[in-house]
Amino acid sequence: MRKLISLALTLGLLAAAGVALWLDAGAVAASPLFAVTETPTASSTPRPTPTPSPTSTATPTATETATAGPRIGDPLISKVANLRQAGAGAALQYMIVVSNSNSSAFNNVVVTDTLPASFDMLSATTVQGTFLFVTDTRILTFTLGVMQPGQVITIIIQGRLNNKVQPPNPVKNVAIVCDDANHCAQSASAVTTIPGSLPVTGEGPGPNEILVMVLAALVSLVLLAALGLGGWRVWRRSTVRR
Amino acid sequence: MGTIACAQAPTPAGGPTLVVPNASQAWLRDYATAQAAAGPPQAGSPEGARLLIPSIKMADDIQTVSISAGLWDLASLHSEIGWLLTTGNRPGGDLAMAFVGHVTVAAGVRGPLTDLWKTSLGDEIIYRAGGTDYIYSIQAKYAVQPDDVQKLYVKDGQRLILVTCTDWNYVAGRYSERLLVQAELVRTQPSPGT
Repeated sequence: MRKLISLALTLGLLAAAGVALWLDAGAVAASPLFAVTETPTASSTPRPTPTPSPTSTATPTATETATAGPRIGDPLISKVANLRQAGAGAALQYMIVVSNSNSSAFNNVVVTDTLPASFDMLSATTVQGTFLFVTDTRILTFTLGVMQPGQVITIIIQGRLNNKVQPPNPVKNVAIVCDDANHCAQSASAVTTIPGSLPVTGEGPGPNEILVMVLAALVSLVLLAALGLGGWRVWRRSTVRR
Repeated sequence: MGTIACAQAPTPAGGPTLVVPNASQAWLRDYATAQAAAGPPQAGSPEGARLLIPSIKMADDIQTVSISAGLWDLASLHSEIGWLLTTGNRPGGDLAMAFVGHVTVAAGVRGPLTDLWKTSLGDEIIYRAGGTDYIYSIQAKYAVQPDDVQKLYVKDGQRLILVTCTDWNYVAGRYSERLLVQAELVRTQPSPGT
């Protein structure tokens, strides 16, 4: 009997010790007294790349004809005057700048400018091409020829405003550029016309000016009187001596 | 030579691009840049505003001086101050505002700017409009010839110009020069009573 009881107690103690050991395993590992170096675990095995699911083919649309070469834009043109306000007789200068910002050339480029009646052209210059001015129509035409990609052409028109200006109506002018494929653009400029002289703001002499004139008249009278008196005395003496 | 027919494409939105390759035309480049930056002319005029010059005790209403037959028409201007059409129409605009006033309205009869010649540099000119006093300080005073019209077109909206006749010619019986006074905006403040 005693043997059985002692055996049971022994087994129980062993069991308890085993449980305690199992519970303390984590505590022992975390204890600074027991530095445990964790060995790195192996990286997870990469997942196999999934095979792409077959996509549905799009319904073919009408076939588009691809354009051969780049898209052609219009030439660029700008026109400015050197004055914003000018009166009759003022020297006026226009500058027209034409540029080709495309990657292909423009052929047979022409700039036309119908000059206003109040502007008398004195000269025109262009860095390329020739120009012609028709007096009857007042159309000034610059034949520039071929403009290569990236090329810029400058045109200068010099002249003078004449008496046909009607202030304050602006003097407007439009320059148009085209090539033989009808690529066109235009640029307008406007110059405000102004009177040719400052306003007259005096309706006669002022009080000071009148005072000056009165004093001048008085002085003149005194001088005349003195001369007259002196002359009379001279005449009187000459008659008395006789 | 016949007319060249072209398809006239409309100007691209925002206006044409200006390319000025020649450095000697710098004035046109600068002008074109300024022109592109400046918007359309401002509507309105100083009509109904008031101009005051305390140093010569001048205070008068402003009316518009229009242009007739190529000249500024002062027929309806008597003791008022006239704003010259085509010059700047507001403080801070593209151009300086230019005002005119008679030195005499008849022989021996004083006008609103008879004593303009008595002003000194630094004297104040007050432009009163819309409940605000724009106060200018006189910076320059000089005589010019009657055909020196471009002196009125100063590209500075911070400036104000007054013009009247000066230098009476006793022989010819007319004023041979114009007196120009140029002032610069120094401050603004609410008008009295507002």
